[in-house]
Amino acid sequence: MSSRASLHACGLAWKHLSFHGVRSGILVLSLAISIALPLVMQSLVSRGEQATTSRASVTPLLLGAPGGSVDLVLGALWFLPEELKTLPARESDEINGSGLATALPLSMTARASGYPVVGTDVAYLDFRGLDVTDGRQFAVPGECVLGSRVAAAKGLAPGDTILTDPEGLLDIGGGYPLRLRITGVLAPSNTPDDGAVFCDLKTSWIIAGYGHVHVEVTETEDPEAIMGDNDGRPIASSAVTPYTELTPELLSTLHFHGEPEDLPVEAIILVPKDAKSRTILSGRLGLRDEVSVVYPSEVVKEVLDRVFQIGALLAGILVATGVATLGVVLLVLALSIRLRKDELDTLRRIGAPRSATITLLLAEVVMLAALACMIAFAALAASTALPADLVLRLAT
Amino acid sequence: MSVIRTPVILSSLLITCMLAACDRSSPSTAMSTQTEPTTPKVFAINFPLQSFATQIGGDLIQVEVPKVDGFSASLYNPSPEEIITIQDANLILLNGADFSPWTGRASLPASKTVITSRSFKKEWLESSHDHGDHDHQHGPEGEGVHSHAHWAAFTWLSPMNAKRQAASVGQALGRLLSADAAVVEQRSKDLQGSFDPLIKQAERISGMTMPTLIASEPQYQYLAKACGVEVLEADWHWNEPAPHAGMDSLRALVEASGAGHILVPSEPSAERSATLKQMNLEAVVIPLLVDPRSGDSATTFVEALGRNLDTLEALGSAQPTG
Repeated sequence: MSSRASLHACGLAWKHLSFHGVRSGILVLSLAISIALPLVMQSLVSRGEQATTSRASVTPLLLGAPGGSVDLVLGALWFLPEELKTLPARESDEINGSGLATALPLSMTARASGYPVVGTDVAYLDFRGLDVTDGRQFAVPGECVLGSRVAAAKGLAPGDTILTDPEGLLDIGGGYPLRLRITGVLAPSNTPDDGAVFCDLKTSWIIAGYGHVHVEVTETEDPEAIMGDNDGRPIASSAVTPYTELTPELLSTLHFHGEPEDLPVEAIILVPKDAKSRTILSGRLGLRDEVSVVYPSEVVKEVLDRVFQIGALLAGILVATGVATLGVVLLVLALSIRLRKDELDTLRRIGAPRSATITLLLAEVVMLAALACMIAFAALAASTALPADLVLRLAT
Repeated sequence: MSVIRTPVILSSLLITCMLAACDRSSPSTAMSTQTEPTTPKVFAINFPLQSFATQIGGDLIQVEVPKVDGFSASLYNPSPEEIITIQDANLILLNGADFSPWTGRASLPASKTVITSRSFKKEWLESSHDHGDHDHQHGPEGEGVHSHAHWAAFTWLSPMNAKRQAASVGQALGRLLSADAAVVEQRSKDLQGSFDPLIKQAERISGMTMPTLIASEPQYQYLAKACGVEVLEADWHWNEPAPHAGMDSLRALVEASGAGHILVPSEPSAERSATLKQMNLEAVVIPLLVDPRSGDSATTFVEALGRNLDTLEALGSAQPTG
């Protein structure tokens, strides 16, 4: 059979598939789903493993209050809203003072527009290799920098502001939200840092109510701010802004209730100077009951092992489903050939050789498979747009 | 021909999709690869710390100080942009004890920041210069009334405190310059040793009978304690025209105490000298040593503190010992 005849057979096959568009479409989609599901699943698990492991492996040690190590790691590395016990900031100061490691305290209880507000040391940005591409990093309490995803989602830029979320809608006795001034936006890093708001630890303490500034309603320029007088004391009206902003003037009145070293942090990332310091530090901290020292890479390995067990089970089910789908497709094709018996007889009678008929049928199968593969790989390519740590987030 | 072209186009698309699926860039795991400057930058908040860092670090470091344009470093209040510049230093030497209150409000990297007076925090003195503006209450009934401790800041005027602060600077520089740790350690020991005669001199002064002294500035607390000298406070910031309670309050203090000397941080102007003379007060210049003496970059802090003690000792020597 000549190549020209083969091309004509392929052309006829395409015409046939086009003519029976609905049937062909269903077959292509069935095949595509069977191929795509295990591929996408494998890709997500693989990317999740890579992203999760790499973030954990560059975080040598984590210090927290005694409790669940998984919660501590997920809270401190992925800013997931875990209920973590606290430890005093003094722990961080003492580790820095020892010279054995750099301690990076984290306070993650606040949120702004639904995104986690991470109060930390300015060195955190250097530690994670986060560059401020637009603007500058925070310098005083009340300032913040946004992760790239937060800035893009909310359409915010340096010079704008973002309000922290109130702790609870029914918390009428709670403090006012804090209006944070955005000083910079971080470059995308494809890590959870893209979806967070970073500020100084003191800012987090102010949001949590451990520190405050004094706003004098009598000194506001708004004449509606005061609605009356009660024995010489002004009565503020609803015109007073329902939030606090740490302006440079108010910042000079900032003070904390208690010594800053006694105020709480949820976790402390420890970056030892060298292997010897790491051993000494983990040994010293391991002896103390009031703190818990955790190796994030080991905790993440435990979590991933569980995820992979579920993933392997799911992959098995998907493969079985795929095999069943393939069987159905083959049956449909076999039935289709039987139904096309007259058409194939006609081809034979008008002089088409047997090889042309086989080429025609094979071409149809190859085309269906090719289209299905195309859709499957397109789905695989599209899945890369999903967050790399999606599996971990879904699993937790 | 279109019948033949369609499958070819579809095949090309298939290959493109496969390539796109395979070309998945791995997530960024970049760590900071910031290149360290060849000479580490050390920010020192005042003259004593600048002097210690220079003496210990020498040409191994580049010491930076607050840019104050003629004002005292104690009045330095940097803008956020200046704070960002300070954040970039490899080591930030702060005094602590409420010196430069801005440091308590700035976002400074804790791992690179050393509060040099922390080792003797329990010995910090509460400031006698309290105008009551640190007390306040929350709520109309006074619930939550609280005050915030306000510390006397000029810790370095005591030679013992200064020695401990120098040791703290030496320790921090030893960590920063680990390759030259031996050199740094030796220089640090030498510097600490140079305080020993001053500590003995302060003890000697504390054994003398001193004339009644009035302190213009409320900053001589640590010096007075180290030398066992009782000073009466005039509450007179030397850059202001008169004491907070007015010149009459000083006159009353002189009359009540019979003091003939007033400690001042710098030479009084002719007009001020005349005012003091009218009150039979002799100005005794004891610089606060927050800043290096203008135009004198060669004098070290140890030398300057020694001069202060000499001046004070001279007052004691003039009196008959009891």
